[in-house]
Amino acid sequence: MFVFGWNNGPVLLGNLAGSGILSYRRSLALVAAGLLAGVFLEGPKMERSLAGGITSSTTQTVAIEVLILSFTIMLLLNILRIPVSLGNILVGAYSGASLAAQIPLNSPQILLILLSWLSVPAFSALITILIYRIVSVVVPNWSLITLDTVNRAAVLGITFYVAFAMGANNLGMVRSVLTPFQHAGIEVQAILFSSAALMGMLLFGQGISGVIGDELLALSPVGVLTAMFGGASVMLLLTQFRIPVSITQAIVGGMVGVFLTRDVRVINRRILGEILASWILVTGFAFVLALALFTAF
Amino acid sequence: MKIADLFSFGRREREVLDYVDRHLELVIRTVESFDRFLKLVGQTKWEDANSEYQTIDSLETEADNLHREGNTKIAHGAFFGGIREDILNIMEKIDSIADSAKDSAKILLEKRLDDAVASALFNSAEMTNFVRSCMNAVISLREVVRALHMNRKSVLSKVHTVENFEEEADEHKDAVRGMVSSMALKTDALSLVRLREFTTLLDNVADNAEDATDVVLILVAKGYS
Repeated sequence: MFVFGWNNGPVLLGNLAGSGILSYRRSLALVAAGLLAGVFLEGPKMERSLAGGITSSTTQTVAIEVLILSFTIMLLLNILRIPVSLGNILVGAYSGASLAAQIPLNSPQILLILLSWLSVPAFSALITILIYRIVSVVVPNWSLITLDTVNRAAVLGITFYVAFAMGANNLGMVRSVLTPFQHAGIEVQAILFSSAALMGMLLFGQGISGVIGDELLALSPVGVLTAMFGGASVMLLLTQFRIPVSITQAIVGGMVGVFLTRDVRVINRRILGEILASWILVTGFAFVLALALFTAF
Repeated sequence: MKIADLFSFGRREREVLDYVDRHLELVIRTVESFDRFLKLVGQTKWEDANSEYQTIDSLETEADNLHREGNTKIAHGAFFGGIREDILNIMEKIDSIADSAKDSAKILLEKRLDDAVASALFNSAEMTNFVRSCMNAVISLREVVRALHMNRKSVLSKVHTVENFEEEADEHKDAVRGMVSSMALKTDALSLVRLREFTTLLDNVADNAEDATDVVLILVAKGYS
């Protein structure tokens, strides 16, 4: 959870920090509230996303190996400043470790997850385009002050909403890995997960968002906020179907959606290529590494 | 920022735009005073011109103070990040208008022109048109800033007016410079150099007004797209 916070903190805190609306401390408090609300209210829906979804059950050894491996991979990629999805790593590592432990994999569920991953950016782009089209009709009629006030309120609301979606989907998914250790109640786990994630954000979470927000696309605050709203909505929707989703994939999809609606388009194709490649490579890498390590030891 | 500020519903932002408006009002008064100053120079009433310059100077100082207050207000968190920098930039450009008016007036007082030259130049239609275009550019800028209280369409429609006056000022500047060059035999070289410098500084009045509208355009493009 610590490296998860490190990796995803900027996605949650970047807009608040950039807009200068809240101090870092207050931004963290808002994100904490969102994560906790998400993991409490919607998180239980993800409890059967890995153990109970990809496999019918799991073991403590698999769970420990998956967590250690995921932590290590995320740590390395964070140090290299590469935005990466906890969902991709966990699903890859969990599938590899389970296969090595001869726990039968639920192929239709894996196929569903892979298909949803492929469609998440496109789906997110589509939703964002629809929202952005509506917003683009309304916003030009506003005065600068109205626009600023709405942006201000939207940053707060959408940051909470994205944190809520991540708490529900990603933190809920981690609880799924911990099924063999479900001694503590959801309250304790939620507080522990959120605290660890917040520590990651607090200590290191100010570097990776720049890659997405600043270097990938040149978007206005309205564009970024719409993309984040669209991405988080897709994430929450797929949470209902126990499908792990990467917020980065969803938001990048949303941003590309906004990008496609504009006459003047500025996109960093190299960065987009790197992000797309990392999604595929990281999942495959986590799978192969988990399979190899579990088989070897 | 205090929690209560989050729910100010644009109060602080309105205050900042009021500062910009008041700042611009002072700058317009400075330019109007500058216009009166030039008329006095044309009448070769140098003492009166000197006293009008004092008015320009004090108005410019007042504008400077208001500029500083406005900056402080913005620095305390009014407006969204990104827009904030643009508003600061607009205020900077507005302030430069007053600076240019003051500097161009000063240059005429530092070395007094020959009365015949001053009378011929500052009563000419070319000079009158030049000054009028510069003033109109600044007055139109106020309409652009006020349109920020309305919507994007209103802002964009008014931006072009400033650009037109700035282009007009450029054309009149060339005519005035032509006139200055034709006075080569009637005055000394230092006066000629200073008159050219004066036309450049006066042109900066319109240029800075246009620069301010360019920042408004950036602000609109960033905020509304």
